[in-house]
Amino acid sequence: MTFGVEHVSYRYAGAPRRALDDVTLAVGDGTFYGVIGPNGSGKSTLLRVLLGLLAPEAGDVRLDGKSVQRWTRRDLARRVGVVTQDEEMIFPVDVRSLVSMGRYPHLGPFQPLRRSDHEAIERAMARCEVTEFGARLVSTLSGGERQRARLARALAQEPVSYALDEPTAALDIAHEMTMFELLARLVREDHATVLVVTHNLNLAARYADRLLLLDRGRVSAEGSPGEVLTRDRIESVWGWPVRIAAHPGPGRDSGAPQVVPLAADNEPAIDLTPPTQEGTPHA
Amino acid sequence: MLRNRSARAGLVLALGLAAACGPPAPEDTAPPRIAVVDDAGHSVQLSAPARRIVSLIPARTDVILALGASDRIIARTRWDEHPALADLPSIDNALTPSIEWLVSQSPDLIIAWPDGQARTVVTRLRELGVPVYASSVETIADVERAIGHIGTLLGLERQADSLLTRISATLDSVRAVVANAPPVDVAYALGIEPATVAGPGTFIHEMLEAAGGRNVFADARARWPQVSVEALVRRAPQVLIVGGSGEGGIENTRALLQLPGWRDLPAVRSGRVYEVDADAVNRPGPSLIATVRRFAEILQYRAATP
Amino acid sequence: MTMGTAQAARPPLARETERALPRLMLLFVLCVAALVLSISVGAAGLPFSAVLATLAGDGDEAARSIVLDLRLPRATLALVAGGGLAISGAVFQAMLRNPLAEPYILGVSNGAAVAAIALVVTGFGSRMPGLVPLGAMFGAIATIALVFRVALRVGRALDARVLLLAGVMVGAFLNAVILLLLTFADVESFRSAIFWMMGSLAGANWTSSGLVTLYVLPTSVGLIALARSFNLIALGDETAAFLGTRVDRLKTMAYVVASLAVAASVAVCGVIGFIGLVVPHALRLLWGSDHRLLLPGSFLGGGAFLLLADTAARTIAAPAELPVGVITALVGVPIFVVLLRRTAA
Repeated sequence: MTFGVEHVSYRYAGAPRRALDDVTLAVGDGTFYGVIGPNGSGKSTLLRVLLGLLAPEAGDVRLDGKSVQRWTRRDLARRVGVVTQDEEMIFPVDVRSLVSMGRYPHLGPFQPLRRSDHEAIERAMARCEVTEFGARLVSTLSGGERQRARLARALAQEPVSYALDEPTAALDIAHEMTMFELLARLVREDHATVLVVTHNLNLAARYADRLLLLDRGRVSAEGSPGEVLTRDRIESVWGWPVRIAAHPGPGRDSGAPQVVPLAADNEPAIDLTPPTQEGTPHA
Repeated sequence: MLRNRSARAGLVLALGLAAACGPPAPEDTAPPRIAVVDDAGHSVQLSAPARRIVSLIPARTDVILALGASDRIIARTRWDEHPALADLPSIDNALTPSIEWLVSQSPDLIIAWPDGQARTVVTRLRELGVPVYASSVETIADVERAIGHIGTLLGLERQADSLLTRISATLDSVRAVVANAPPVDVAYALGIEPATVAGPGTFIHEMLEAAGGRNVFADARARWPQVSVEALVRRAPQVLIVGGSGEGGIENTRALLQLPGWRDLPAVRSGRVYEVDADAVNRPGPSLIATVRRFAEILQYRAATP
Repeated sequence: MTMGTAQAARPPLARETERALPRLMLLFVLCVAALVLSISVGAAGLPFSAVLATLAGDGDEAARSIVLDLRLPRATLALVAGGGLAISGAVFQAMLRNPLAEPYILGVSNGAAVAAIALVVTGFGSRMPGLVPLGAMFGAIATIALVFRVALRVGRALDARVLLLAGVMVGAFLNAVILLLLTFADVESFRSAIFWMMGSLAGANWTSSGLVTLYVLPTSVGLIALARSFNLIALGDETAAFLGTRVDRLKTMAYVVASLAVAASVAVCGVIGFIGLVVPHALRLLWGSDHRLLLPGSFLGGGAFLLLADTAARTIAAPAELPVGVITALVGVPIFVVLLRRTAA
């Protein structure tokens, strides 16, 4: 098992309710795993707890079987490549330098990049199709190209698993698809474990092997996309009328559940008041 | 935790830094023929009377000039405007002279302030074996002591003694004259906007009191406090002495004295505002003879005794 | 795609070092040249042959005194203090994520100044010659601790904005204390306080230069060893953590180590401004923000800059000396403006 949490709870200082409440999750090796849920459901918090940035007030967090607190940040960086939604760039940096930072966890303080490091960087850039941008400043790239560069950095770490926090939130459909295709290839070709936090339900449905649905800090459902993405569940968690349609295909996507939100006046019988404080029962 | 460890290490090394900046006392191999203790408590030893002198303190340069030894001075500061020194190279403000240049001129005596920036100069020069005489410039007693020591260091004791006699004679006669009259409330201000006045412990204060004045700011807590015009109004000095420098000073002063608050001071209303050259007056040296006479004149409305 | 394959064909190691090494060599040569100039030129007007003779071991007493006891320790101090200020400036810019940060931004110089000026004004400073630098060092360290305290009470874990704010506030407070002290000073103390604050290397002897070197060299080496971490921290605390950095430990170490280097410089030389801001910033404009090049480059560049500035300060108006901080600003600003326009174009 790659990522595992058991009965984890976390509350931000001064917050009225817990951001995570008794969450249990097990991500098997070589899985494409999606974490979905509305805004404020605790998805990003869960990712940070998984990666040891936040210490939970209760529960057990394990990475590759070992408690995450016992991992040094360096070793963790050699196992998990992380891509977040965006990052600040105060000083200009070129793409190649950005990607080469993925090799830092493998190097000592005065050690220069070796041949093997350069090869890893080249491979990573080629796979993410950012080789042509190598000398350009990251700030001159479009959002999608920038995310590909940051994914290349994660690849350059040569990790065993990847964790991504809303990596495609600001991207257009072409760039979004490219990212998810890249991630799927990583699972297929490298047998990597990929954990993606996303609010794009439909892409999660098509690419993920399993999904975790969070609702205000609690696990609402866990299972295959077909099991998790039912109309009743989505309407109660998100509070919006939807229909579930089957993906027309062609190919692997055929039949995958696609969530189609309805216009507000289509179903006047639906109660549009926000859901109550009690949690919804698990599936 | 790491922070405290580093801080402690830093302090230990800092102590070393302090020790390093202390000067080692240079050894004198020949038995010194001339030795005085300066105002910093150091013993200044020369094997012969000083012949190549640099004085960083203008008031002490005045002493050397008064002793008739202007030919022994090899450099001047910006404020040494005596014609005898006009051709000498200038080390400008005297607080940051080039140590290298001083050393290259092979001086056998340097006169400097006991503390402050001069300390760096003093320390380095002592380390390099140049005799330095540190002289305070606060009080009349400082002046008299300096005259005595400089006379000894230059081998001009006779001239020093006669200068000291002249000074004490003048002070005695002025004091005798003003003893008959009540003390006059006076304030000395360096400039008007803002007004910085002479407080206790300054040389000007001593001069004023010796000349029969009562410094209205004798109870101030700083040496040169900045005061508002209201404070002056409250203390109501009968005489206001303004120390200016440069031309155009008198017109500016007159103009400012017409401002509200200022024009209501008794000193201004009675016309007893006097302008003096600040650089000439605030120079604790032989010129105090002229200064104390001038102050007595101002305060007593009479020509001072010869 | 063709460009990509052509780039991949060249030996990869050469590509990385082939840019950095010549640039560092250039700065090193500049440093050496500045050093040679600094010991050859001075108010005493020694001919170059006399300087060479002294270095070779001959030379008369006066020349030896000037070159070996005055110029050489002063040049060493300039090199080390300038280097320490510049490399600390680069580190503060990275840690505070602000290219306008400079070594005094956390109030270190004000703390040192308060202590030094207090000693001068009260007269204690003249009792024992080494007291003022010791006091200044003390003041600097106490200020760092105070700023940390304030920052940690307000926010978590040395957040950059909180630290900056704390530093500016503490610095402003200390500034007010300095002004208060100055109102009680007599004329000479006042003047010397102002001159101390303007910065000067006139007091350099072998022991003070040696001690500053003892502080600055190991701290600089330590900071250079952290160069990769600075590259990462510039992208944000989270990204740095995800790429293997222990962020809290890095912050504490970087701030403390850099501040110690600055404190040592200020304690001995007073407040010499501008170097810690302009040298690293100029190098960023020229050669980018990779700290593996920027940090050693800043050290060499800062050292050379202060060497040249100090040489000018003590020769231009000979036999008087100008405050070195004035030279660094007057010369540095136009150079910086030119650089800014060149890279903007």
